[in-house]
Amino acid sequence: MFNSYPGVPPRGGWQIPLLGRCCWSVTCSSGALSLLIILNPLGTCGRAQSYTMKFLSLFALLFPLLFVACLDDDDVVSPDTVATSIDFVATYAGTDLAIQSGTYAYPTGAQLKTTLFQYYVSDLTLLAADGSTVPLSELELIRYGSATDAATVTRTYNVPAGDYVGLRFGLGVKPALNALDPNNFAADYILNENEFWGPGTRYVFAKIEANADLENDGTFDTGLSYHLGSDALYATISLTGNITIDGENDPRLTIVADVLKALASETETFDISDVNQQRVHGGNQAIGQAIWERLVGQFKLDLR
Amino acid sequence: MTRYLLPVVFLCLLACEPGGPAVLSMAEPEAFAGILYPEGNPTTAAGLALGRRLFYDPVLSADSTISCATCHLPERAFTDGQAVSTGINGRTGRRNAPGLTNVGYLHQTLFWDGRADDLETQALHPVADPAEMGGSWPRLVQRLRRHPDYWPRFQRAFGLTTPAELTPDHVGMALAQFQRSLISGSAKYDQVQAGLAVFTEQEELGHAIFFDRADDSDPGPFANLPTGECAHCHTPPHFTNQRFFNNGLDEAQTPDPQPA
Repeated sequence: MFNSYPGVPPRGGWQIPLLGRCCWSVTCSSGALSLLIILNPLGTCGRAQSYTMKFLSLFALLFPLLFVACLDDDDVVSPDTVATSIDFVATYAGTDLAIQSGTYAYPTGAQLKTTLFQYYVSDLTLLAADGSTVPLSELELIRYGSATDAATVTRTYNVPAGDYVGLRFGLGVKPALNALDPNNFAADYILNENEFWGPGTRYVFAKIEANADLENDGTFDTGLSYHLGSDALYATISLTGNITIDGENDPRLTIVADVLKALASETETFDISDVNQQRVHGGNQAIGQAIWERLVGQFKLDLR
Repeated sequence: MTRYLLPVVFLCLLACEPGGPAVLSMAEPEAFAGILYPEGNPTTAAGLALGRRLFYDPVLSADSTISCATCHLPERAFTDGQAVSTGINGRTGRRNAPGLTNVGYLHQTLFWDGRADDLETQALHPVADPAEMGGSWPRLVQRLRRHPDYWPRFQRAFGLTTPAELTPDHVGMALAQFQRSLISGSAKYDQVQAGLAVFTEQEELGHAIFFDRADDSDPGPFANLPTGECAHCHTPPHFTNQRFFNNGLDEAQTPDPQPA
């Protein structure tokens, strides 16, 4: 749909080759071509020949740099790294979460239809068996918000081959990023996905939204929205599992989050019939404290 | 040594020189996130001027009566205030004309049905829509290629050398550059946020309802106000989350007849 035309920079952009990723198709091909053109006027005899030799010596030194400059970052793949996918799976009572279409039993007897489940993940890190760490991502937004969304959100990272003993991430927006206003980022950065409450309350770390049928009359007419987050709530989660990544028969890393386990445990159920507990927004985080704590504690790592 | 280095430096510059018009640096409101300029269509003075001219010129319509500005009026925040817009020969469309203010910050799909991925492709739709401009892209492109004023403008904006190079995409790119320049960051709300103005009493109450101040841990004078829960979706500074929601209106009417 969007074609390339003469004089119009390609979508890949133009950059100075010695400073980073460059337009390789122009630089590499015309670079070699220009070399011949520049050499020719120098001549081949007498003093000019001496200049030619110096010039060629100089180019012998600099020419490899041109090729180095032309390498596309995307082309640099270490043979020791493996493209590794992590599946973030959302469930409700152990079954895949179906936004809007799934009807779920709540412990109080009510029925729920979940309309949104999302959370930020900060500093996603693999924990190596030798005690070192491999950072995978600074920030991810995992969102299940549409009836057409699958219950699995997948992210793929290049991971060094090796043995690992687990994963670690921060649930929410880490304080260093939470302190930055949206205008510090491009409009399409994931912190500009309309999750900024305001200067005081900052970003929404996680959301659970649902419509409830409290009276069992078939009408899901009670809205529930639990929007959680603050620096004080930010929590680091470590999940263990023996993971060997070598490019062959690698396990599918699956991080499972269960909405019901965030709303209720075997001993404690959040009272969704209480009108004062049907909305948690920026200013009334205390009401949702228990939901947040259960959300933090229920993540599990499956190796499939 | 300099005489040897210069050709090398020249070689590097030659390799990297895009050859196009200089990219414009547009002022942006301090409170806004960084506006999105696609790498394939940076805003230039020539492109922006061309896009502006096309936007206000009915030349894009089949009978030269309808321009973009016919439905996107600057004095109405680039909409027309109508329930549904009226296009060529008095034909009415199915939806109203969306406002274009700050449209360059949006990065999800465009149109009320999300049928365009970006401004460049969005701009291509109305020309051939029988309820809008009612035209034909092949005929329009032929007209623009021969146009004594527009052809040189396209040449300057996109470095074209022959009229055959002019395609509908160039029209879309020019219009997109103009639409990205429609930046507004000085409304009363923006001024209050910047500390340059204060809300009236009624505006303050509306602000509190909009942003659910009654739910604050210390709601103060707003304790007994209802919570509008508006800002969940209408999130500042652009007051949209760019997503589609079913708010139940489709049970009252069906704006889009389904094909048989």
